Amino acid sequence: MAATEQTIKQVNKLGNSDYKYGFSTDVDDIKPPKGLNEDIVKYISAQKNEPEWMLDWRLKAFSVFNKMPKPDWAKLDIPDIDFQDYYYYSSPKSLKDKPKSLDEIDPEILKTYEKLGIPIKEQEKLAGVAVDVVFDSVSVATTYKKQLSELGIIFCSISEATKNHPELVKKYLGSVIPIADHSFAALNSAVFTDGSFVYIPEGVRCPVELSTYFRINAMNTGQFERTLIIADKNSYVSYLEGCTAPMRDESQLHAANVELVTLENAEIKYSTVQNWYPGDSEGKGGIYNFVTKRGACRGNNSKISWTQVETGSAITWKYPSCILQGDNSKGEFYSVAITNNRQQADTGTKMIHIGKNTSSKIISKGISAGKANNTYRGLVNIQSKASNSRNFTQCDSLLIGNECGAHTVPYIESSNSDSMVEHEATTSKINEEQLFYCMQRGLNSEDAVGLIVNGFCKEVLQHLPMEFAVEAQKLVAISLEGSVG
Amino acid sequence: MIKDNILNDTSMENLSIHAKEILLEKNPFKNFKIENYRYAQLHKNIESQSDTVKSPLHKDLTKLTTDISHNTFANIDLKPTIDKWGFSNSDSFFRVSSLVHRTSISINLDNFKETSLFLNISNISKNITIQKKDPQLKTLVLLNYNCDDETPKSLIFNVAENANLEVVHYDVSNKKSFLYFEVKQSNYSNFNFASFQSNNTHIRNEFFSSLAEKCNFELSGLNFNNFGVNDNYSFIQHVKPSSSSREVFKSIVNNGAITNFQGKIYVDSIAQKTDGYQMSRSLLLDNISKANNKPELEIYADDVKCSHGSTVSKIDQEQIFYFNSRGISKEVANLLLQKAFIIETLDIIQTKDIKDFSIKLLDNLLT
Amino acid sequence: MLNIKDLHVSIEGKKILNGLNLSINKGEVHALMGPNGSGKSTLSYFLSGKDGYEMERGSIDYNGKNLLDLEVDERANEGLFLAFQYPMEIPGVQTSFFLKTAINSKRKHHGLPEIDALEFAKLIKSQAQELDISPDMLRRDLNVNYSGGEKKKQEILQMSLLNPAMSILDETDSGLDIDALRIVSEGVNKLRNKDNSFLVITHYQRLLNYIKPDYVHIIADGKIVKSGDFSLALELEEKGYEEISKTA
Ligand SMILES: Nc1ncnc2c1ncn2[C@@H]1O[C@H](COP(=O)(O)OP(=O)(O)O)[C@@H](O)[C@H]1O
Ligand SMILES: [Mg+2]
Repeated sequence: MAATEQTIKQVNKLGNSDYKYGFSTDVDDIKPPKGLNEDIVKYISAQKNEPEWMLDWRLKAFSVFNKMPKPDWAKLDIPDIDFQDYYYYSSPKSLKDKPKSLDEIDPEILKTYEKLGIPIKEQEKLAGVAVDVVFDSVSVATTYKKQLSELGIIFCSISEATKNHPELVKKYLGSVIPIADHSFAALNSAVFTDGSFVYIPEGVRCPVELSTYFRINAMNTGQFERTLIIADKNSYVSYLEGCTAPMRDESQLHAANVELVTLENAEIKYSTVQNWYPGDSEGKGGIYNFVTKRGACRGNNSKISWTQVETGSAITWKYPSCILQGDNSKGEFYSVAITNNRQQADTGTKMIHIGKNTSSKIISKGISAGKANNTYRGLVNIQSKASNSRNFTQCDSLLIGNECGAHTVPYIESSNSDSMVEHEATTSKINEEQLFYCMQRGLNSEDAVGLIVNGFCKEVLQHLPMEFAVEAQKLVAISLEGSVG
Repeated sequence: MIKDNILNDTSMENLSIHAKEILLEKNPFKNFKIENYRYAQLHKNIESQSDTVKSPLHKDLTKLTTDISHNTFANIDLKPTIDKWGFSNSDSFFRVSSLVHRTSISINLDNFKETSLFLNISNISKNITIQKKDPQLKTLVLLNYNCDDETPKSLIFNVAENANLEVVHYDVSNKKSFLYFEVKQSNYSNFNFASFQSNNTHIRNEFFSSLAEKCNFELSGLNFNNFGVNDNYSFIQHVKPSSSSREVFKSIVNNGAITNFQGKIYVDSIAQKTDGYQMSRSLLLDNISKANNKPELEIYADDVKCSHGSTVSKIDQEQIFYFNSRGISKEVANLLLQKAFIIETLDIIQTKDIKDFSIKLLDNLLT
Repeated sequence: MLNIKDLHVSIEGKKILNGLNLSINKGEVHALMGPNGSGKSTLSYFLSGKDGYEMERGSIDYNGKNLLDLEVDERANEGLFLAFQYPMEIPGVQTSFFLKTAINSKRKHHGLPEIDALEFAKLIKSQAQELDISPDMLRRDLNVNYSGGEKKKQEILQMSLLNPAMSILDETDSGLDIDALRIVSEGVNKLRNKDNSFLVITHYQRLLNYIKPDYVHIIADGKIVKSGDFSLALELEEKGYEEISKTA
């Protein structure tokens, strides 16, 4: 095919050092220019030595992105995003770009790390400091790798997977989030730079919690992360996403796609603690976080469970969802979303019941303080063949102060009479009698708020893996600092 | 006799800016599935051709709404949308409030000495503005049946300080019906609205209410439809402190009907001490019907108590079993439980005669 | 320890305390008795620093400090403890975690390091045992689904763990069965020493049979109308509030 040949040629050219589109000759060291166009898509693909099918897929996604309007359903005030004003690829940072020591890091960030109780070495790692020491966690990662590969578990970056396991990637990538799903999904598909790939083979129960944290190249995960997790029949995996501390990040725009697939009897538990830079108290700066997370329970009796604690980002736009295709499959969504100052969050889930006897559970806790707005938006859709399905939804919102907003927007659609959908929601302010009680016992007002809000969130936090839960609790308290007078 | 008093304009000048935005937006909410209308039409056709899908209630229902099968649906431009599990995949296709035209008659309820008044709105082609100033409770019964005029209409209620008004609305028309109700309540006023709908074509009711200080607003709705599309939309706006609103909406959905309920409680940042409650429940009786609920809370004041709930299910089979175990047949048990389901919507009616009348009417629908 | 002079307090414009005088010294136990609505809880809340009260007149001295200068938590950490008439339920917060947080707040205030985990476990175990509180209880959410009696015992447990200088017990006896009453009183008596003081608010002389007060005060309409020793409580039991107030 002529077009394909053309592409190959172009890609080959890109791989060469005399790339003529104004990019640097020394590809290892310097970023390509700002801007979003076909060339950058090809450049990314070439940098990763991707096979042709992957480039085609990216280019298709890019052309879809160009035709699609931005999704507009969220109750968010999103400043105009100039897609041409971003870098879409930054090659591994050279040592000279990185801060040399902790002294060069924003003290605010370090303070937060300290409060979170993250050990100093981890702090360095999180802050991207180049230190010539073998981190504990790196050796841990290698130990894990060996143990995992003995079980047949594949845990690597998505780029490696594209090279080494193309049959799996081809089969599943984009099968849960089609490239034309909405424009951010299309954008991610076109320009994603890295992310994790996990495959758990039939009958294997992954013995450790997998996490990007432990992956050696996790530091360079870009702003367009792509994660794909497949749990084959009768398998189980628990995955912890990213970091529990703010990432140093110059970029404002994040659009990640995460796809999960469970086959018969399999289960995936996916936990996130997101604490990216929320911007300052006036709302300047901060990350725009547009994330598409979706899981498909393809096999009968399979289960996907999402747990998220969202405290960071200036804008959070995120609906981790479950498509319950297999009979008896289960979807769960546990969420804590905290907004303070001028943060905005529009987050929730979608539970699509297609198979028989499917069930879903949604527990959402929204906390709004300062001048923030916090919206729960969730869809429960029961299709006509989904006999005997169940959904239970509980959304509670807490307001701290009278300049913030808390909103609840469920969409409940049912066309099966044997099914049952229940939704409950409440909105109230933080209980002053409880605050007084705690303070009478000697807690200061911030500790008292932290304690009560943590209690309010407990139902969600207890679904996090143990070590994550402790950090999340601290994070909940920290995020609300300064919200009470 | 109704004293006519033509007002030039029932414009929305007095609404808050926020309310205006919500009411006048072209596609202001994103719940209604255009495909639903097609779906309903499809099943209506099946319905008219076959007796097999008829529910036991159908025969009796036709006593009230005759000749249903000859009705056709609106020729609305149905733009197909692609469903991608997104939230914004489809839109409502119109707002009654933006379609009502502007001449209206005005009725002052204080001019009548009776406490219960009946108003047949079936063939009134104008919009109606209703005044209530007196604290004495009056019950206004609105009847809508077999109206020939399918143009959208509005009814505006002005409830003055300390005034008490109760409205009971029956819609048993076999024609399309589009109504916009707006309630403007002044301080310390009480307003109850009970709406009973059994219209098997296409009906849409919009309830808009704006509450001043220390007001009470109660809305209870029941829609009972065998096929066709039933839309109810409510927007309850608390703009002053210390008022309370309570809304209960129930629907029984059967034979390819579609019921859409969308209700929002909006609490302005100055409306502290608001007490807002909303409950929508649907009984979905078969798998060719659909029930869509979208209860919403939009809250900007912290010292409030707001909650909502929503359920969609069929009749509890364990309850049926319990009835069976006491020798009561499935059919009777079904009817009794349906009745039990809807009876709550009658609770808010204060005038005894009207309440009795309503119970009778619902009995007719069910037995 | 605590010296209240001519205290006038109102809520939302409604006068509740009306020139109340009360002086409590180190090592003393005072009982405050009075009919419903006489202002007993108002006094205890106001002393603890709850919001929503307006002081029109008066002064409160606490260990040489102006009590009103201190925040709620500062008062608590300076040794003022209120056993609530209606203890708060705090969903999602494990009781033992709450206890530890409170202990550590006080330690921090006094410049002490956090309590050692093992030490805490031992401490809480022995104290809970004495009050007949099961370990299972400590794992549950604070006061959530506790019975009335269990809540009151929980208050006393907190009191003994925090070892306050000045404890106010607001109707701790109401809702207790006779065994619980004995256990709670023993808890209080054990804590009693020459350095701390108690203000025991109650309706009934019954509690005072267990916790022997040094002084008994009768409050009516927001002020103390009669003071005496334990015999006043007995007299009150006999004659009732109305008559006693008359003779005052
Ligand atoms: N928050 C409040 N607002 C208005 N009145 C109050 C409030 N709290 C207490 N009161 C009134 O103050 C009076 C004293 O109450 P309280 O101190 O609880 O009495 P006691 O504890 O002696 O039974 C009562 O008349 C009560 O109704
Ligand atoms: Mg009291």
